[in-house]
Amino acid sequence: MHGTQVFPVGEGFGYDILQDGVVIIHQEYDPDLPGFESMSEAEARAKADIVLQRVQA
Amino acid sequence: MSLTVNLRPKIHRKQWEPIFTQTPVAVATGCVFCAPTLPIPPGDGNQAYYIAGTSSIFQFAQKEEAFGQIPNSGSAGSFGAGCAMFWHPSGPTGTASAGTTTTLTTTSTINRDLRGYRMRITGGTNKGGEYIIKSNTWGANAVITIQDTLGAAFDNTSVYLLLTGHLWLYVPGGTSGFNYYDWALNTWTSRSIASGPAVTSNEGCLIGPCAANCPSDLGTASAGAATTLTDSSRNWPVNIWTRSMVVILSGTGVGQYRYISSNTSTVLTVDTAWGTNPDNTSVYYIFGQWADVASAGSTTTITAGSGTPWTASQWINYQVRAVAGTGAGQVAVITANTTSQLTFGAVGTGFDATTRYVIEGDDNALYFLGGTAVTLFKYSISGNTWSTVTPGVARAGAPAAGASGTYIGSVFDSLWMGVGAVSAGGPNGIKCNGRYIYSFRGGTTGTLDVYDIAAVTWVSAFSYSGASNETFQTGTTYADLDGVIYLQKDATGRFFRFEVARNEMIPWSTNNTTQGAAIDGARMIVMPYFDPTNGKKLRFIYWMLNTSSFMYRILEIARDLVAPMWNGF
Repeated sequence: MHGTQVFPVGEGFGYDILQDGVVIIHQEYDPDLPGFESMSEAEARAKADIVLQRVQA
Repeated sequence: MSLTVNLRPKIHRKQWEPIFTQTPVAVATGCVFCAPTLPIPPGDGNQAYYIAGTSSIFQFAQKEEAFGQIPNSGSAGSFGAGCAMFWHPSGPTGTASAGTTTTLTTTSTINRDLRGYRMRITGGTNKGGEYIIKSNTWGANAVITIQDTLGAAFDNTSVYLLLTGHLWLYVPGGTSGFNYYDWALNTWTSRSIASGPAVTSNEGCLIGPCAANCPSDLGTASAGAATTLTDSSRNWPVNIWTRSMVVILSGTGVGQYRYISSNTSTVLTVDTAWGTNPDNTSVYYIFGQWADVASAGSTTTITAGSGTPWTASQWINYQVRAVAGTGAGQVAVITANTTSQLTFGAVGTGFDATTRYVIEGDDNALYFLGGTAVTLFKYSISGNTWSTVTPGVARAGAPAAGASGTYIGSVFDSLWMGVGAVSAGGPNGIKCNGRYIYSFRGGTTGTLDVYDIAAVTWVSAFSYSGASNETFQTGTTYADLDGVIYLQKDATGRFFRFEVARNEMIPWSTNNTTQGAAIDGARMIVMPYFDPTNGKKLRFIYWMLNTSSFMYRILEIARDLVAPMWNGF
C-alpha cells in the first residue's frame, strides 16, 4: 500500500512516498532542477503523484 | 576458528563455485551488479546491489550470499542498456542537536544497525574526528554511540557525516533518472539529471573518485611508543606507507592523526610524537594519497610542511581535507598547485602551520561515460549539477558495447605510492594513485583509453602488454579492486585481470558454463572479505552470467605476480 505526503522544508515543500506507512522516498527539493530548488506545495503534490505512479508500476 | 588461506598460483587450482542463491530476477539487458570498490570494509554490511528494474533492486548480503529486495526507486528513465550504479561511502549528514562525550544526537531518521561503521565530524565540536559507531537508536533523531569516550562532548555545533554509503543509480533514456539510495535511512532521493547523460544504448559507467579509494589498511595495533605504532600481524613492504596518514579510530589514543614518515614490515614511524601512545587496544586506519602538516596557509592555500615535494599541477581535481589543527574538518578541491603550494576555492576558516591535512580523491565528484559518444560528464554532489568535461585532448573514439570505466585509486605498488615527482607521458609514472580513469573502449576492440583527472585530458589507445590482442564487445563485464581490473570477455566465460601496476592484461581463468545471449550491463563485482579472527583480507569475485539466473564466485589466489604485495593482501 503506497501513499504520499508533503511536508514543509526551508522556504517550500518536499514530499515523501510511503509504503505501508514507511517512507521509502524522501524528497526535499525539486528533483527535476539543478541545485536545490524548493517546490510549492502544489508542485510537491504533483511531483509526488508522478513518482507514486512509477513506484507502483 | 582461525582461517588461514595459503593458496598459491599453479600449486592450487582456481575454483569457480556456483552460488546456490540464483539471481532473484534473471539477468537481462541493463542489469547491473555493484559493490563498493573500496579496499576497506564499510562496517559489517558488505553492501552490494543488483538492479533488474527501477522497482526491482536487491541488496546482496555477501556473508549470507543471498539477495533481499530494497524499496522501489521511483526513478525516471527507461531501465535498459546504459544503466549504471556506484556505491559512494558518504551517507547521511547533518548538524547534531545535542551530544555527550560518547553520544551524538542526529537529526536523521535512521533505520539500520550501524555498528562498525564510522562517523566523521566535519564541523563544530570534535571537527576533523572520525570514530567507530558502537550502537545507535532507530527512528527520528537517532542517537549514535561511539566506541570511545572523547575529551570534548559533541554538541549542537557538531556536523556529522555517517560513512554508511549511498548507492547512486543512473537510469538511462531520453529522459534519464538519477537517484541515490541511502542505506542507513533506507530511502531513495532523486537528483537532477539536467545537462547530464541521456544514453539509450551500450554501457553506462558511473565512476567516483572517492577519497577512500586509496591504498589503505585497517587493523589493531599490537604495541605503540612515542613515535611508533606496531602491528606484529603485518608484513608491509618497507616504506610503502611513507606520506600516508594514520589515524587512531578507537582505543587508546583515539582521534590522533599523524603522517607516516617511514615503515618497516611491522612498525609505522610517525612524523611527531603521539600525545597518547597507542597500545594493543588502538584501532588504526592508514589512508590518503599524501599527508602532511602545513608550514603556512590561508583560506585558499596550503604550503607544504617543507621543501618542494610535488610536481606542479599534479594535484588538480584532488581534494585537500584538514583533519586536525586550524581549519580541521574542511574540504576543498584543489584548482592548482606548485611544487610546494596548493590552491583551492576559499574555505571558511583559513589554514595555518598547525593544519594537518591529507590529499585524496574528490568525494564530491561523480563521472559518467558510456552510450555512443565520447562525452565525459561530471556531477557535483554538493551542487546537484551536471557539467560536461572539456578535455585538453578529446577521446579518440567513443565507448561502445563492452566498454568500461574504472577509477584507479588504490594501486598497492611502490611506484604508484612512491614519494616524488610524477613522470611525464602517462600512468606509468610515480605517485599516480587517484589520477586516472581507465576505460576500455569495447566495440570489438582491446583499446584502452585513459582519462587524466589532474590534467583534464585523454590519453587514447594507451599501450599495454600481455594479452593486448584480445577484444571486447557486448557481454563483457568488469569489476575492480586494489588496482586490478577483472573482466569477463563477451559471453565466452574467459576471464582476464588487468594489472594496473604492471600495465598488463593477464589471462586469468575460464568458466565453461554456457551463457545466454550477450547483453550490455556490468554484472561482476569484487568483494573483500575480512576474516574477523585475523584481519586477513580475501577477495571474492562474483559473476552473473549473460542472460541467465546463474552466478558464480571464485576466491582469488594470492597475487604473487604483483610486487610488492604483503601476505594476506
